[in-house]
Amino acid sequence: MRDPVAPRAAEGRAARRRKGGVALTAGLCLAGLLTACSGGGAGAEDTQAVRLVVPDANIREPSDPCSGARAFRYAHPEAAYEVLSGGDVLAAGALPEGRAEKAFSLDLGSERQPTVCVMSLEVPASVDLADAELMIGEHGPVPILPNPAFDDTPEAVLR
Amino acid sequence: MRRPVSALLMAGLVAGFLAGCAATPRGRLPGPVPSGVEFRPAPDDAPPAPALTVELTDGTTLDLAEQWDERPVALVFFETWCTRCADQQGPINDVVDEYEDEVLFVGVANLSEPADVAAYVEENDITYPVAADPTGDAWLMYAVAEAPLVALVSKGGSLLRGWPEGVTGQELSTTIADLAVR
Repeated sequence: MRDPVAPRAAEGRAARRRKGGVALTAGLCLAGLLTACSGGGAGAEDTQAVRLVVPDANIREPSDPCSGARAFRYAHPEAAYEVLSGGDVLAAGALPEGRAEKAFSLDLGSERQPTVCVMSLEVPASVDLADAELMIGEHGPVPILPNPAFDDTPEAVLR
Repeated sequence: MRRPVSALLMAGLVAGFLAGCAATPRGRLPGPVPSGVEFRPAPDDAPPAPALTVELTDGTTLDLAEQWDERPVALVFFETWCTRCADQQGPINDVVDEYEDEVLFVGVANLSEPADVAAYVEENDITYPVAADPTGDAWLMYAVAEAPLVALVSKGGSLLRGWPEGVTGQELSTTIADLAVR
């Protein structure tokens, strides 16, 4: 004789397993999401920012998106760059979009004013930037030096 | 009851697919100027626009002076990485539709790769001719420091307006009406 309770118990175990499976899957997804969001996944690397200053003195509103203007048009988003030291390539990548910063610490009475275009290059934190130089395509090299005005952030100023 | 609904859905999908496959015309030059359209004379103090011949992405050339003998010309200087250019493109496309055969629009890229320009044209649904200017001559002659820049040239070849940093669709449309097309 079949135990009328047994099927319900079995169904209950199956349901708990399904719930457990769902919870496990959800947990794994969440863990994966958090890992991806924190940048802590395999292959992710700590980086340090290098300020790239394009002194084009172009008229813009500060904080506007920008790329190099006039003679500095080669310094544009997606342009290839290399960080070099002693002829060795320490890091390479593509320039990001820049943000305009005031060229002069003066109130010129206008929102549009002479600006420089500043890009932030993310290079591996393991790279030693002492004596490092920056090349943008065939342009350069320019030295990367700490800028005391920005907490000694490494900075390259095009010329 | 399910079958007609399924058939309707399928027909809709097929129609959508076919519509999506219909090629949008690219590099379109305006047709004849519509009858009744008049162009405004340029102000006396408007400087002559730099005349030049540009090479279009399809390999043909376009003599701008020949074009503004017929109608006003708007030059849209852009680069494929320029986010502001892309942001402004939709409203500019609306103005292109508004002045379909009355004003010629020409896009001019400088340092962008040809393949990227082709992709940009598709992504931003640009129907007007686009020129590659790898030497930067056109950019130099129009003093383009940084993309975007839009320049409006009258019928006859006078430089009416230039907008460094580009222009909104509303301002472009209004300016064409005020300065170029009656």
